Amino acid sequence: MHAATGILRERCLRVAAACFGHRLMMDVIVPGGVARDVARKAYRRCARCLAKFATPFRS
Amino acid sequence: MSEFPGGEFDFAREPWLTVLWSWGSCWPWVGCFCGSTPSCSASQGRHGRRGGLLRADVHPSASCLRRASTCTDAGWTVSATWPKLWETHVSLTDHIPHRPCRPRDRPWPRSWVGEDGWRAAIDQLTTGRVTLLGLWGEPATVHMALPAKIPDCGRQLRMRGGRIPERRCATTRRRCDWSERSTTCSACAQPARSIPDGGSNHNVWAAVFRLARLRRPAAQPTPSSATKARDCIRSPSPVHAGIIEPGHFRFTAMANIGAAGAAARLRAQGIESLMAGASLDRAASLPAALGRQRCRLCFAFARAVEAALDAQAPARRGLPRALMAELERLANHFATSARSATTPLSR
Repeated sequence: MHAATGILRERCLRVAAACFGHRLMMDVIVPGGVARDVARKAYRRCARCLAKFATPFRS
Repeated sequence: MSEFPGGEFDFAREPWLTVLWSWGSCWPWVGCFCGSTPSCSASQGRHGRRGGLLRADVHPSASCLRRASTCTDAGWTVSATWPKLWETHVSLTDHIPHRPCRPRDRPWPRSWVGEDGWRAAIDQLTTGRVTLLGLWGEPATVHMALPAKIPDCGRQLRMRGGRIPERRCATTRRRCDWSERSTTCSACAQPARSIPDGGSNHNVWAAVFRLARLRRPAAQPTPSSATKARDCIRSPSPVHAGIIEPGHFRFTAMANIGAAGAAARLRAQGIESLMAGASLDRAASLPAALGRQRCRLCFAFARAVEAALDAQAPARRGLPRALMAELERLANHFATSARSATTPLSR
């Protein structure tokens, strides 16, 4: 359980780093909007990642 | 039963609502004629015949009810036909003596209260009609945020002098204890040591050293009631046999929660003090230092700044913000699950 959820958390953070430029998404949300441009493919990558999260809990 | 955005209504018990609901579309416009605030006078033209206050009551939208709440401040009263809706959603401060708010206060209307108003607010908390969202202090002012059940209809009470009355929120809301203590500390410029126990242990422990009773002779004064056995949880077995005796770990739930709250509160106080007088860029980066919910706190701070400046972030920025907050929530849940899976208590 520890290892499985640790892997999932690491995947989360990697996706965040790839899409939003920081693993913990610090200083990305600022008053007035978002500090970085988020590409359209970042949303697709997030969606793919979220779809994979359910896999370890099936069966 | 039928559910509306504002709550649930029983048509069997309230036939008048059925009538008004069916007539809602053809009722003439009923609204506020006080015209004392720009929003009230502007609403007359904006809402015409279809957007009357009556429809707003049946379909309570945030903007309509906020306008209605402002009208209440101006002395306008509602017909007694609507006690339930009005009492639930609008008259948050009807029983709290206060000075009317100014329209420029955003996002919630703010009111100045005196000590009597503060006590009345605590009375409302006691009755359960109002919930408490926040309690914080400035050097000369104490703030209390009272949310309404409808978004954006809450109210913020401010009291000058910065001294909390003797009757404290903590008597009804235990969670307020630390907020009130720290507010008293920061707002009244009292040194923390003047608060009993140095503000360290919720008055739960009579002695500074929590295990002192175990080593103290019987002649010493008895500790406070919170240290009696019924409030304590003794660990059933030694964690490291031979080194720590059984019963060495004695803790009360309240003391531990209090200690955790104290740590969080002190950390928050440090962040608050750093924020005071800082530039907006600097202040926007500070919430990220508050624990694991960095993204969500930055999100909340950004929303607060936008509300205060009456500015709105572009709609296309809403999705990445929400996505980031959700990703962070997921990551935190995974981390918590991993930790709880390895904790002995969960086995």
